[in-house]
Amino acid sequence: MSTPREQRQRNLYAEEAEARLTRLSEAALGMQADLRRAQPPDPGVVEGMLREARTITGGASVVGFTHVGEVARALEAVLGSLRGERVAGTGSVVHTVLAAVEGLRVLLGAAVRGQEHAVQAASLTARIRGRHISPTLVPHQVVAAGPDPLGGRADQPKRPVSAPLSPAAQPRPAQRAPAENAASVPTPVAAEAVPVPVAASPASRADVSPLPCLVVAAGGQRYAVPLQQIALVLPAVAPVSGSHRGPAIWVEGEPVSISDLATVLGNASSQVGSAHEGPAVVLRGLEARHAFAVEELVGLRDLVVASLSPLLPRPGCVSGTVISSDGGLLLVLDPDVVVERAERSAHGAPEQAAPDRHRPARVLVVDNARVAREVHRSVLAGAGHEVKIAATGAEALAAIRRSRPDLLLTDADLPGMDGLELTRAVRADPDLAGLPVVLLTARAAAADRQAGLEAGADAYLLKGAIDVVELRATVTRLLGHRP
Amino acid sequence: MSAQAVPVVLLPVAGGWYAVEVAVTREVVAVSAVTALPGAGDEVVGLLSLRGEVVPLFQTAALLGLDVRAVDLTAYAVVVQTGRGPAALAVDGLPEAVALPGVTGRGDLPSEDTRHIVEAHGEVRTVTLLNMERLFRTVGGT
Repeated sequence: MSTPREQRQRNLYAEEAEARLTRLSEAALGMQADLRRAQPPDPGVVEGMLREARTITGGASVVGFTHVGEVARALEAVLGSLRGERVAGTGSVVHTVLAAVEGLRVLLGAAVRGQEHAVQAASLTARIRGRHISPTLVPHQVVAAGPDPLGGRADQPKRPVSAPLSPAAQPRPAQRAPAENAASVPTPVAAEAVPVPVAASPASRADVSPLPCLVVAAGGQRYAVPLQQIALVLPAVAPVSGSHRGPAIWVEGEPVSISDLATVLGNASSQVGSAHEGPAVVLRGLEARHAFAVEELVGLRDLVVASLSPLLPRPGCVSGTVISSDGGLLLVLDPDVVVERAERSAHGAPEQAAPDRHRPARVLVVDNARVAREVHRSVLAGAGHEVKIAATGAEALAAIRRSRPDLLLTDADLPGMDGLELTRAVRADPDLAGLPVVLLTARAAAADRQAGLEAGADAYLLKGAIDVVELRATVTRLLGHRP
Repeated sequence: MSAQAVPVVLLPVAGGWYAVEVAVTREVVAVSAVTALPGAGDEVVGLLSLRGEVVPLFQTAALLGLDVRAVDLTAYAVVVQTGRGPAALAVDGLPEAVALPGVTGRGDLPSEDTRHIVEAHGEVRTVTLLNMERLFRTVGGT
C-alpha cells in the first residue's frame, strides 16, 4: 500500500505525462496539416550535414535510422544516397514519441561487430518549419541499449561533440533517465529491443497513412495500440485494491480500473492483483479510461495497417493487422472496444457465469405444430444441443422462468401469446433480457421482418426458405455470445 | 445441358464429408501458425499469414452449426475465394480432390447446399456440396 506522499507524487507524474502526451498529440495533428504543404529539403543540405556528422564522430558510419511517418518519406530519396554505406534500412535503434512526431532520426556511430551495445554519436532529425522540412544535426552521447541492426555496434564517439545545437536539438525530457520511483514514472521512451520493419499486406486494403502505435506484449503475444488513444504509459504500476470495481491505479487523483490486457483479450486468465508491478497503459475509450497491465512495453512504431476481412465479426477488439518482416502478424487493437469490454467486466455488470463450452447448450423450441417442433428438435439435437419444447407462448414463458435456456427458437404464429409477444415479454424481463431469440415465420414481407426485429428478436428466419445449415449456423452464432 | 462431373475438394469435418468446388478453391495449406483473434467468437479460429496476405481461418464445423467438440486438432485448411475475400476453412484431415457426379454443368450448380454420393478410396460417402455465399452469410461485419 502506498503512502499519501507516494500517491501525491504519482498523481503529479500522471498529470505531467498526460500533459506531455496531449502536447505531442496536438503537435502530431498539427503536423499532418503542415505536411500537406511541406517541401522536402535540398538533398545537398542533408548530405552536407551527414558529412559534418561523420567528421564529428571521427568518421563513424551510419548504423541505422529511425524511419517514421510522412517526413521520413519526404526524405527517403535523400537517404537513398546513404545506402551504399552501412545503413540498416527502415529499422530503428532508438524510437521515441518525439521521433514519431518529428518523423525522422538518422543515428550515426562507429560500428564494431560482436559487441552488445551501440553508442549513439549523432542523429539527424527532421522537423516541419513553416512550409519546409528542415533537417537538424543533433549530437548525442546517449548509450542506446539494443542490438545494432547491422549486427555490430557503434563505438564511443571519437571526438567531442562540437556542432552548434538548434533549440530543437537541446536535450529532450523524454531522454532523461527515469526517476528513482520507477513504479510511477510515466515515460514515453521505449528502447527498441528488436527492429521490426513492417509491411502492409499487399492483398488487403490498407490505409496508406501510417498509424503511430505503441506495441505491447500481453499473454505471450504482441499487440499494437494506436497512440492517439493512449492517455498514459506507465513503466511500472502498483495497483491498489479495495474498490468494489476491483484493482485500480490513481490517475489525476482518481481511481482508474486496471485489468490484465491478456485476460480481457481472452488469451490468458490471470487477474491484476496488488502484487502486479509491471508496466501498464491507460487507454481512452468512448466513455471511460481504463488501465491495462501488460508484460512488456515493446516500443513505438509507425504502422501501415491493413483492415480486417469483411468476413470477420464487428465490432471486435482488433481493428487491423500488420505483417512483420518475419511473416508474423501484429494485431492492432481497437481501444474503444477493449475499454468497453474491460469496463463492463470491472463494473461487475450483469455478473454472469463464465461460459461453459463443454456443456450442451439448452435450446427451447416453441411451435404449435408438432411436426415442425420435432424437425427443429432433431436438427438442433444433431448439433449437440439439449432441446426442450413448448407448444404455446404462455407455456414457453413459464418454462423459461423456471429454467432459463441458452436460446429461444420460436414460431412467430402461435395461438394466444404469439412469438412476437413472447419475445417482447422476454426482453421486458431484466433477468431474461439477454436471452438470444430466433423467430421462425412464414411471413416474408419486409414489414413483418421489421416487426420481428423490433420486438427484440436476434434473428428472423423464413420457414419456407430455411435449411438445416442456416438454422444450425444461426443458432451457433447466437450461442457464441451466450452467458 | 448434359450432366457432367464437377471437380470438388472433399473436406473432412466433424466426422462428415463436405465439398467445395475446385473453381473456388485457391489452395490447401498445412496450418502451422495461427494468430488468435480476441473476441471473434467460435466460428473464427484466428488469422493466417499466407505469403503476405492475411486470411481469416474459420472453424468449419461451427459455420455448419455442428458440434465443435467433435472436431479434431486442426491440421489443414482449405483456402477458398468468397465474394467478400479469401477465407480459410479448418478441416480435420487432409482434403481430397474428387469429381462429383450427378451434377449438371457448373453454371447450373444449385444455390443451396446439396447432398451427393461419391466413391473415394473404395468407400461410399455422402457429401454435402457447400455454397460459399450461404456458408458465410451469417458471419462478418456490417
